[in-house]
Amino acid sequence: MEKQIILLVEDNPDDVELTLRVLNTHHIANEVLVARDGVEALQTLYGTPGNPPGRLPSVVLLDLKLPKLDGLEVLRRIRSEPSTNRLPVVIMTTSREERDIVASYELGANSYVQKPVGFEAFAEAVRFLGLYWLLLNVPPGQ
Amino acid sequence: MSGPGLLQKPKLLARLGILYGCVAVALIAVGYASYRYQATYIEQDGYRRMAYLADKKAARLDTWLDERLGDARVMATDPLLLEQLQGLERGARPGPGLRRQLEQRLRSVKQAYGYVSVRLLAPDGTTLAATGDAPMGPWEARAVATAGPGSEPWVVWDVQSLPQGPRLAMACLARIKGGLLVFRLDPAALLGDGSMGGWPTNSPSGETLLLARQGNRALFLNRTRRPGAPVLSLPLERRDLVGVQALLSPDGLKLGVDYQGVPSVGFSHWAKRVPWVVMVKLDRDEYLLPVRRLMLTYAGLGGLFLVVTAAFLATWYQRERAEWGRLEAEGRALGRQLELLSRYGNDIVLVLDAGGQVVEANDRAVAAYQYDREQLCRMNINDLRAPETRGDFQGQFERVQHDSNIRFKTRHMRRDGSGFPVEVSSMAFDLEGRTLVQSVIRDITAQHEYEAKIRSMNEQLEQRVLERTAQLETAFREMEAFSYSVSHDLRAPLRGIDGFSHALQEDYADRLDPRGLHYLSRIRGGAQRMGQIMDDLLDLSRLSRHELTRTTVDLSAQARQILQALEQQEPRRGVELAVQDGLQAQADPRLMSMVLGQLLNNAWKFTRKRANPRIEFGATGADATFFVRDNGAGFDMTYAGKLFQAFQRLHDPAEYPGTGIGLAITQRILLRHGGRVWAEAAVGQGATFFFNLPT
Repeated sequence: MEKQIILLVEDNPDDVELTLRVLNTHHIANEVLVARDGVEALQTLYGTPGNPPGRLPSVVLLDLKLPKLDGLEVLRRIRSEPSTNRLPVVIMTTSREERDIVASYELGANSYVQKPVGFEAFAEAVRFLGLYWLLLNVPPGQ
Repeated sequence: MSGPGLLQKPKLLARLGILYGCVAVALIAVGYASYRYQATYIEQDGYRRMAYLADKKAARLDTWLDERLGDARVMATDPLLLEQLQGLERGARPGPGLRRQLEQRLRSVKQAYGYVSVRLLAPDGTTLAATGDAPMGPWEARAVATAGPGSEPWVVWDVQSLPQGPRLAMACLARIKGGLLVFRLDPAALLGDGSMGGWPTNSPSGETLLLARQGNRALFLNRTRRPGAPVLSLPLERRDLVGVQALLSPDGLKLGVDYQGVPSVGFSHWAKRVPWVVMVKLDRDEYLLPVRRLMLTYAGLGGLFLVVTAAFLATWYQRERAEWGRLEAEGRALGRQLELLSRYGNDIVLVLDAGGQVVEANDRAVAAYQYDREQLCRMNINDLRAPETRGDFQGQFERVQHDSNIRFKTRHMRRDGSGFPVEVSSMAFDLEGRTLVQSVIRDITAQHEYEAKIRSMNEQLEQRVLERTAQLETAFREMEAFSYSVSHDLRAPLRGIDGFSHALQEDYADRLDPRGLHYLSRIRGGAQRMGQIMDDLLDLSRLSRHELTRTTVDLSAQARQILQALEQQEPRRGVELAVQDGLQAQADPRLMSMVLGQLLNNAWKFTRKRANPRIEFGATGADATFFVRDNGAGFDMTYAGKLFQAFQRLHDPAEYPGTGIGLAITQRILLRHGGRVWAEAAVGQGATFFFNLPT
């Protein structure tokens, strides 16, 4: 089985660590790329001058509230690029604002997950996402 | 248009009086003229009748005398008598034979013609023969002595004083060859037969008088109505006497008193054969009786007419006066109002003819246009309009005629060229066959200023509203940002606290004693509880921003759904559930779901310690009051006031966990729908939460 890559776009180091802990605990991903802000996420996906991008991740776990370029902008960019317009993007955010949810789906998010405060619930959500998008979901054209 | 009131007080009584007076005067004048005409006619008729009568009487006298004179003439030429006298010598006395013959002859004449006596005198005056022995009266002797040489017979007369009183004596004298014949006449034959002294009609005062003058006295020859002497003598100085007047003047009408002093009317006529006057006379009263009767008739009828008319008019006036009084009062009020309207009214009033020519203008028009009235009345309405509004008056005139009243706004112009906005209300009316237009023109400058002011105030207000709205929007955005921040930034550290505490529990459980693990669980509990509170707070704040979309909500279905979910979470609770069917409301379905969720969750929560818990959802009453009833812990109604305030709790959180926001959210939702929520409960007896929604 080919190595599964997850791109986690998250500025909160606590959340990064906890997410990674869940993914590791459940052996969901072989490789998790972490981007700390929107710009870094795009650089990871599309590379920088003289630094071409690596292989595309299987799924992007995208936080909305990010420094520099926020999550919705990143999503818009992902959907507008031909190379990534079918890339599964799951919005994982603390926000419960409806407008965020609506905007995310309108921009083509594949799923929207609200991060609960309780860790068990959080862990369950991350585990389910990882399983679904990495193991069960069959991406189009593959 | 100014001037005295249009309705004058009718001085009817005066007019009526004048009218009545005129009618009365006219009636009297006509009546009098008619009366005078009639009276004159009657008087003239009486005068003619009296003249006729006097004429007849005089003719009768003359005829009688003519007859007597004729008789005398016949005797004087009697051949037998002349023959008998032939033999008599001049100055000789007749012999006894001849004397007897002569006396026989005279006697037969006297008897044949009815003389008192007949006498034959010799030229020297001695008696040759006579029918009686009575001597000749002195008046006869005087007459004989003064007799002229003429051959025609004549009449002489005198009033003799006799022992029985004065008596008229008359004689007819005729010359005969060799002598003189004296025929003594009997006046009674003339006066006594009634044809002379009588009156043709039955008259109480009418009489015919035979008058003669003797010296300076007037003699009444025939018997008068006055008792006493048959021949009456009155002095000629008594000119008031009709008889005296008759003797002193020619034939004609005489007015005066009669011999008895009674006012009389007479008509005199001189006789031909004797210097006598025949006079017919009536008492003035009798003469004027028909006239007086006529006058009385006229006066009576006229007076009656006037009195009746006056009475009728007086009655009519009395009856109508009350009505006039009322009308007058009304009229006065109306007149005052009209005058005030036209003089002091705030509106310009112009009367225009079909060509737009000003026919009449009120004081206000004079003041507004700054032309005087005479100038205005020479102008056309187009001269008063602002140049840009001048135009076709004919069209407007037709429109006014057709619609009878039109109203429009335009601009008019003063004499100095300044314009002002006006509102015109025009109305057509007919005056003496001419169609005119009355335009009431209101200067709406002030109105325009007000409108402008209102507009500017409205604009200011709108501006302020915009500013406030902007401020509100800013505040709202800030609030949203804050909420977002709370939702996002505060929850992340909490998740960290809980997450790493969990990691500690998992990875380092063997290195912590039970107390350490307990602390960890307390840390995690606190973090999770804080997360819950923040979620609830966000819900509460979101409610104010959530827009209500009312549709028909099936509350029964929602309640069942919620309870089903609760049962799935805790299938072993064995709560008895009762949900009434078909409960519906006009409300926001999502929010109603939150309300039911809150109430049913509470019921679920507080029945936890009951042996046979029961939860009921239903409705009571006509106004559809819904309720959620449980037989759980209930609460003390003393604290019912705190029930719906945020973060107020009536139970120990350790016993019944919760943030204390749920009921506050419930109340907020129901208030936003225009409904309300309240509760009834007792400690240990369960609680019932009621809510209603406007239908």
